[in-house]
Amino acid sequence: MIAPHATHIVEGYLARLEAEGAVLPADRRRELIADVRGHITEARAGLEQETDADLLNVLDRLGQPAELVRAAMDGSVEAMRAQQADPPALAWNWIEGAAILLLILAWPAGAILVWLSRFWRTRDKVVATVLGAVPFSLGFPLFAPLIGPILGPLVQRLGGPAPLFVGALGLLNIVAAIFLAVRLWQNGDRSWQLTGPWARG
Amino acid sequence: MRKGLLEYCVMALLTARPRYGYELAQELGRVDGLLTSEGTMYPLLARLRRERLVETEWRESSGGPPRKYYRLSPAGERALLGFRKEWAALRAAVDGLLKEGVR
Repeated sequence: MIAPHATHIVEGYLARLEAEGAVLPADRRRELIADVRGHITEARAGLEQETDADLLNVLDRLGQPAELVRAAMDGSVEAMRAQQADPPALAWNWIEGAAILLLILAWPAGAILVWLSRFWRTRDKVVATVLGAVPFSLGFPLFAPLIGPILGPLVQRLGGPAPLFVGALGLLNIVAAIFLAVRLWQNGDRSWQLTGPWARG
Repeated sequence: MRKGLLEYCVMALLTARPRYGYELAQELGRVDGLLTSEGTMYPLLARLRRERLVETEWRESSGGPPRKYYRLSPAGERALLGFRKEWAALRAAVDGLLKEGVR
């Protein structure tokens, strides 16, 4: 026999569990509710003459919904902490800072750091690498013979302000560094909002 | 501390044969003070499954809906074996200290 208020009692409990479980990832919440529902079904099957009091006792032994959700959160709280232990903040302090500095002082090292960073988009990385590569190629003994024959005639044809032009090329790595710094500042603002603990709100 | 012990008690109950959740709750409930609320066992079982210490399988039951059975995985067996050794050593040490206090 089914207790007079069985549906009200059992569904009310499961609804509270569902509401409390809103903080859990959806799959965990569903699993918890299914497990608890199965438990209640088993317990009811064992009752010969089911009464409302019997059902309340079953639910009492199960525990408060908030208590169950807290138990289910233990694992996910650990997981969240583990994710935060790999903070973008720390990474962007030194890798990105060093990348910008080295892009000016030592292009190859700077470019490698730029590509190691997860902060910039690929497009930004390509732009900065190419811009930084030009002055490096001009000054580097290996590349100068390759770039020289192309730039030489170009500079000659331009005539008058040629030294100025070459000088401007030498500043391109500084332009690249400024470009990355600006992107860092723009992206930084956004990704902080996305990864911060308040991101869910 | 009790919570840490509970997961090994659950695994120990699964060594002989697979069991379903309600059955585990009944067994654990017989040990006084181990399981304060039966429902908290389910998040624990879910975690053991995520950590691949137990495996689950649905089986038909006579008369009711299918039951989710929990079975110890090889990794679970190893974890339990490790705990048995630790527990034996810890129990001996604590017993020694407690006797010391009585003297």
